[in-house]
Amino acid sequence: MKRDFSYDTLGDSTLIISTDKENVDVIRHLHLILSEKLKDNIIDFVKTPNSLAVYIDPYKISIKQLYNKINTIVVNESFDGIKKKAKDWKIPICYDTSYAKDISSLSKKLGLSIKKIIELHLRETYKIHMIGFLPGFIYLKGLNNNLKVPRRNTPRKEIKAGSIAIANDQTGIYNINSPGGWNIIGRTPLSIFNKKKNPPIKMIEGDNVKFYKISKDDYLKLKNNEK
Amino acid sequence: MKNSIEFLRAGSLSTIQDLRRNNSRVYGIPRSGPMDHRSHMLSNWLLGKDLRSETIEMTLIGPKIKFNFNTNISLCGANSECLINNKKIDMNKTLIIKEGDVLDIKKIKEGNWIYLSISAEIVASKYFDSLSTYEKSEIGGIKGVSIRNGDKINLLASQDIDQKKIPKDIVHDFNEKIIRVIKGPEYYLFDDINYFTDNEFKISPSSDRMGIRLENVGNNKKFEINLESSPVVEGTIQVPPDGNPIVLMKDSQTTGGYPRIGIISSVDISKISQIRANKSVKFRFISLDESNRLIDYDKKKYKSRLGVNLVS
Repeated sequence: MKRDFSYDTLGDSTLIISTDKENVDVIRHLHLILSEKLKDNIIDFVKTPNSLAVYIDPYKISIKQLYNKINTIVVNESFDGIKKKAKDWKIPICYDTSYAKDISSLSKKLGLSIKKIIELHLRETYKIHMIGFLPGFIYLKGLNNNLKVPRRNTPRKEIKAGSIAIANDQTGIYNINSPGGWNIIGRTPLSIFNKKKNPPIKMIEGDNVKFYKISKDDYLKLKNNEK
Repeated sequence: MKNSIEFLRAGSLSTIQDLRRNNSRVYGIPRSGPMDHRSHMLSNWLLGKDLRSETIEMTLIGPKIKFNFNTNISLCGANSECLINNKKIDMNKTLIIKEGDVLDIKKIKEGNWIYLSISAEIVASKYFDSLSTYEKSEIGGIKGVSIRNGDKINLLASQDIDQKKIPKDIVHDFNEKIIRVIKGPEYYLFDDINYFTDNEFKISPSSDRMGIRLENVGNNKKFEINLESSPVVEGTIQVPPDGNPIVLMKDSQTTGGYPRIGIISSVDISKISQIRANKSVKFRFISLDESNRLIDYDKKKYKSRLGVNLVS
């Protein structure tokens, strides 16, 4: 079917194309079509569940020219969406306080025991909302309402790879050492992002993720196996 | 014998960068590339190379490099004291290098980033079609990290080229501090927008290739806004709740959740990259149309002065 998209700009080098409601299949479809048809003009893309950010060099093509090209493609194309069967991933997590830097302060802030926080975090099945931020960072939706907490006021300079954190209504996995503003509640020994593989990450938007708790000993054993 | 260069001193942060990484953001991998892409392009222009080609980006204390082959080089960007075999040389022009010559990039006097282009292709690890070094994931460059003391880099055959100079009016002006900004998607959430245009912001020494951190010189203001993470681009000015803006740069994240008050016009990204720590910047909001006009003007200027399109 034909689709109506809305268009916004982010400065002079990024066009954001949005659907009226979340639809990862249609965004995937749009990404595929544009990366084929406009590959000489487009530098890159970022996908969200309801939008596609298109990056250009404004010295090569202006945002207006890009919009006209995309509009011509979009009005002639049918966007039924590219469906992919959601995969189920099981991710080990260690909640030991040596990895869960913020769990004690969250316990005070949320008025929940650490045990309760862990229980609520393990209970839910999460959906991959998007992949981005930094290499392999995974945004997961479906966080228990009682765990909702804002980002930290000042982002941390370095968060260790594998850290699992929460912010607002999401939980996320940091897959490389990086700065970040989310509240850290545990760590996984798995290397989810592998730069030597193509694609470097197997999980895609729409997949399901469930965490299972492991001890610090198990963490260290698994971490060793990953090497 | 193969063409190579040897780093007798690596310098504070010397990395290989180019403008060739495409289609990596989908996996959260930044494009990377030169902080001051303009100076990077100029150094390549001097050698008649494709403007996107790799250069060596250097900062603070530059490297000391021994060449074991005859070639040409060029140096553009931060104003630095540069020597060949202990003799002072000029930046912003084509330079002749003989086998055995030692290039010494001493202290940087103005700006932050200086670029060395060599008239031969560097052999390094490619990732998503690019040699750009991104240390956080250890990709590109030499083993994914900045150049180390004693590193030897191989290069392919050297090209013969014409000697050129960068016209004076095109050489970077280090005194400018007005940065032009297009309104960002969350601009309207800030009830006190004058806070950003009336105040000067100091460049924090903790800035890096990922982002330039700014500190308000006067009254610090807090912003409590919680948003869903959404796409960002280089030049995006994010405002975390502590009120100290962060300008996202070449190694920046692909998405972010802090409000995006504005995005620096593409004509001013190189400019802000060269402003030193503890110096200040002042923001001025312009429209997208105005930014596009500035780009057009810039394109025409470079086309007429250098005879090339500044396209990456």
